[in-house]
Amino acid sequence: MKAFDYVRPSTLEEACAVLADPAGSAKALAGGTDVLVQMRAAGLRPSVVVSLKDVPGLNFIHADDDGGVTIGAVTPLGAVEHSAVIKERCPAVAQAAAWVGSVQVRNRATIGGNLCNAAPSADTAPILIALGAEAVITDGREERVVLLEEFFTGPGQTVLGRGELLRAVRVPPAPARSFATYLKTFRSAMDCCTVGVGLCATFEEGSAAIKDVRLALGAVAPTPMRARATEALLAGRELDETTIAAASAKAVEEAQPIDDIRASAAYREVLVEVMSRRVLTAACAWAQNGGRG
Amino acid sequence: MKTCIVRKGLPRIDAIPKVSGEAQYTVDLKMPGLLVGKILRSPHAHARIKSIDTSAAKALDGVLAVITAEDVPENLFAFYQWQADKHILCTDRVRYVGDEVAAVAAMDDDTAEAALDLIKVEYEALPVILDIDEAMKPGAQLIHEGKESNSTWSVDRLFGDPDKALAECDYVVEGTYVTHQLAHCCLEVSNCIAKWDKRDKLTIWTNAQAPHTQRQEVARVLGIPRRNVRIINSTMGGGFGSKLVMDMKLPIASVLSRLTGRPVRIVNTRSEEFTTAKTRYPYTLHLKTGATKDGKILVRDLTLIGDNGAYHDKGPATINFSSMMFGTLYNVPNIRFHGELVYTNKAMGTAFRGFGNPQVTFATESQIDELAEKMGMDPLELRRRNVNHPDETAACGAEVCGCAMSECMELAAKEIGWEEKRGKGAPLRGVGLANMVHTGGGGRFYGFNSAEAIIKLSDEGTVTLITSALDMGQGAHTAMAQIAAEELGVRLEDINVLSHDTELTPYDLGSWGSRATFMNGNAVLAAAEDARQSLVEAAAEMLEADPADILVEESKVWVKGSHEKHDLSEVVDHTVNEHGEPISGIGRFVDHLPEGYTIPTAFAKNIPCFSFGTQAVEVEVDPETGQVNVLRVVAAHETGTTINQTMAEGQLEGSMAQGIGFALMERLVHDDEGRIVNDRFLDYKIPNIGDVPEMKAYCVESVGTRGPFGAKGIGEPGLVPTAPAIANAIYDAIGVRLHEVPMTREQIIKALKEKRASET
Ligand SMILES: Cc1cc2nc3c(=O)[nH]c(=O)nc-3n(C[C@H](O)[C@H](O)[C@H](O)COP(=O)(O)OP(=O)(O)OC[C@H]3O[C@@H](n4cnc5c(N)ncnc54)[C@H](O)[C@@H]3O)c2cc1C
Repeated sequence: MKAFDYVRPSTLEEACAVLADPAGSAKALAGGTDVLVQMRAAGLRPSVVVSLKDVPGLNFIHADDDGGVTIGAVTPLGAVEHSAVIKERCPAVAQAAAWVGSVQVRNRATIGGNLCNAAPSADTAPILIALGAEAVITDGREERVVLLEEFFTGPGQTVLGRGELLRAVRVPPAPARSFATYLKTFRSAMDCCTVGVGLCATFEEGSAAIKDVRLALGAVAPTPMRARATEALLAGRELDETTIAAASAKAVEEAQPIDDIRASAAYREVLVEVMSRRVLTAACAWAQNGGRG
Repeated sequence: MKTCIVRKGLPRIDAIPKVSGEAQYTVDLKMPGLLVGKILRSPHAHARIKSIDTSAAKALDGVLAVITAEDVPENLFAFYQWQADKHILCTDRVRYVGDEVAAVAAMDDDTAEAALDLIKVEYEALPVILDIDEAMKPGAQLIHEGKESNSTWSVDRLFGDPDKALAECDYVVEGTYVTHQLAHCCLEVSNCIAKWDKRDKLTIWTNAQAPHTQRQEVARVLGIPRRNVRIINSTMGGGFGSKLVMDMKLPIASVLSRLTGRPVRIVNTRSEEFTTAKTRYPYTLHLKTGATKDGKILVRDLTLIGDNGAYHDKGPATINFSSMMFGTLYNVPNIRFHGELVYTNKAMGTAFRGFGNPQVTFATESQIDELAEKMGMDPLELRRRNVNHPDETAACGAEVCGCAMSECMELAAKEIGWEEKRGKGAPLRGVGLANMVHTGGGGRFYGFNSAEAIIKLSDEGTVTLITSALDMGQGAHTAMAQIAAEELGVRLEDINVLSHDTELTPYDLGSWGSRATFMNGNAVLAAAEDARQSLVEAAAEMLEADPADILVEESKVWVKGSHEKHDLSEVVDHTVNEHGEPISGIGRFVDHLPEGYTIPTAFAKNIPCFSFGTQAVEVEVDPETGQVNVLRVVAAHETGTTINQTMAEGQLEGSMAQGIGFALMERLVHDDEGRIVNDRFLDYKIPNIGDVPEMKAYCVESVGTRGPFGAKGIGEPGLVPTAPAIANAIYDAIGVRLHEVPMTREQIIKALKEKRASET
């Protein structure tokens, strides 16, 4: 690891100012579970590491008045996993958080770090995209809000500009009669996902007919992606075996997986089919069961 | 057997220093003037070195030395000198990605790294051979010029008359099995500090599994007298065979130290560890097994090609050992074995826990199930008809004395629920088992097998035990201390074990091959007997009693029949301070080659004792994703006498986890240019606590070995049968047979697809 400066700003303004300094190559540090690994092994050599630990107002889980939840960027995934508010309002987010690494990793790793690291395999991304979550971005003075599905621009790349930080993630209130879940496949415990599938399906009253649906896939494209063609195929349809099969096949068509050490592209396609089918089948069972698990 | 300290699951004597962080590893050592050494490694798997320009690196501030082949002795090296094929630094050719090309010593990490970047090497690429079949093709590019072919060593063993036996068999099965390169994944990476002092003495601090032979190796490659080399170990964080043979960073750091006059440290990065710290030898095995219709295995025929990697190391020893275990398992009367080593442009293989036996057992024990299937027989029943028995000599010469194979097998089968589950378990669930035989005491591979130990008592009755048994995490120090404490009659906490310095410890072959408990344990026992004799004599004199009536237990000394117990310290104080006669003991265990040993006819007589074992597993397979979930593993392994129950179970559990990795996850993957692409734990997966299922380890005691208190080694056997047990369970679950490990999700999906295609 190369020598670097380390700063612990105590305000957002200060943190953003250091990050904005064009003279250096500053890197924000939340839990460090990505940053430190990259600095030690993957050639990341920032001139300044900016710790977010002392910056107030970044570590919180807030029950919004509209029924949604706002999660501070520097909230540990362990807190997300165990939060009563999240478990009540968007349990699939707690479920996805629980899939990340190990207890030890989740005690350090933050939700903002998971998103800003922008790995195509980030476990919290698909479900947050499926739930229509928004990223609240700040430059220390002003805030802007973007849909999380527009947040990622490539592997390791986001819409964050120099000097900008993710301040929070806002999960909108769950629509009535909606079912959400996240499924992950992996080679071993504590592995990045081989394929991740996040689903949020809203059903018509008293039936298994889809009113609205969002399906997001992880690790099958340069960024976590929404499977829009699959969603279009599903819209307005009654969920049954045939529809689910057609939708799962469509998801395979839109996924653009690559070969890597975790899996071949062909095997990832198998997983996209199987996992899409499984989340949709779970949703269907839920709807047929009158909206109970 | 009535014992006080042996056969108890006592806590390890190094537990507190390790858990508290007080234990010092070699990387924790600090030294005045210490320099950072780094190695420039080849980015090519095969290339000619056209030129090396070190001038810019040498000119960099803070760089104290830059060396290339020109600055180091020209000697070639290999574990066996007759196979020597590797220079300290490459002269004109590199043969795998990671080969040592140049090295620097600098004031700090950053400077050393910057210096490496400034060394300019011009390469001319040569064809890269990663595959043994390609390497063996006539006219293939030679990896070592001047050799006749890339096939570099072979061995044949023949016992009985396999052809005749094959003709007599009612059933013959045949198949090809494949294993790949695996990394040892020690948590402590390979590292050293070398200090070449003004008297020309070279001291190396490192983490060697065999410091005495490494001392010889360093002297050999540097062309200096052995007496000038001293190796000092610190606490070790794993070995698994990777720290047995000298790593080139030892002579490289030594030369850097000689040139700079300062100690030089070289530490592998994790990536270097994955790519250059050597691997398990991958085998391709063509195996035939033949049996009569009543299930007696008459013959086994194995052709095994080992991927040597770019240079020689433990290949011949590994393949020879494979042949011995192959010949011993089930006491098969007719055996043909052909083993061959082939050079490729990959990292070299070396010793790895199990030493060629896990690869062979994957083939043999998978094939037993295939044979049973063909015969319509329960695989457990087929094994029952072929188990090894005590006091048998196998066709290959193996002298099996104690043997608890039947007990192990029946126990494992019962515990996994064989009768209820085999062939009739829940859908997608299956059970499988596999047997194994392994050495329980190293081998007389050097023409002998011996160990020595020294014990001295302080004037307060505490005991210093000097043994050459290295503790790399397996618990050898605790086992040695228990043996000494039991025999001497002192408390375990009164024993201090020293084993870290070649100037202190007796010459020894090292800790490998489940050798330490059997060999070093016997030497420790003899030393304790020796010291005990002096102690008893001193006590008899002090207490005015007959030595035959003196009892010593838990550091108390008394005369038989008397209630007056004396502290051991009183006796020692008396004999030291009244008579000037301190108490000490020396013990030696020499295990000569037995009568009738000849290499072609009775090779396996080399093994002083055998250890048998069985593992049974239950798995669940997701047929859509290919995910295999190991639900339970039961291991029943023979220990002779279990010196420490907790540690023996720990050895078995750790081995089973490693066996699961071998079976399902682990493989070093190369790209077309020969670069290892999974050189970090993010990509190279080993089982962690979340992957390890419920495990039950049984230590099955047995009689008939010459180990201390009847003990056998248990360090290696535990991962030998895991993979075939899992393969057999997968077959039971979903009806597909995999002949290659690791059995990945993708392979399972592919095999299921092929099965469906063949059924329609
Ligand atoms: C052993 C291990 C297992 C893992 N397993 C998984 C897994 O199963 N699934 C998974 O998805 N990930 C996994 N990871 C990756 C990692 O833990 C997660 O991505 C984690 O959420 C990152 O959070 P962090 O707080 O540690 O981020 P850091 O490492 O501190 O930062 C990550 C990146 O985000 C930037 N950043 C952090 N916070 C902000 C902010 N508020 N605004 C702008 N930029 C910011 C940093 O500059 C950096 O580029 C694992 C990592 C390890 C070491």
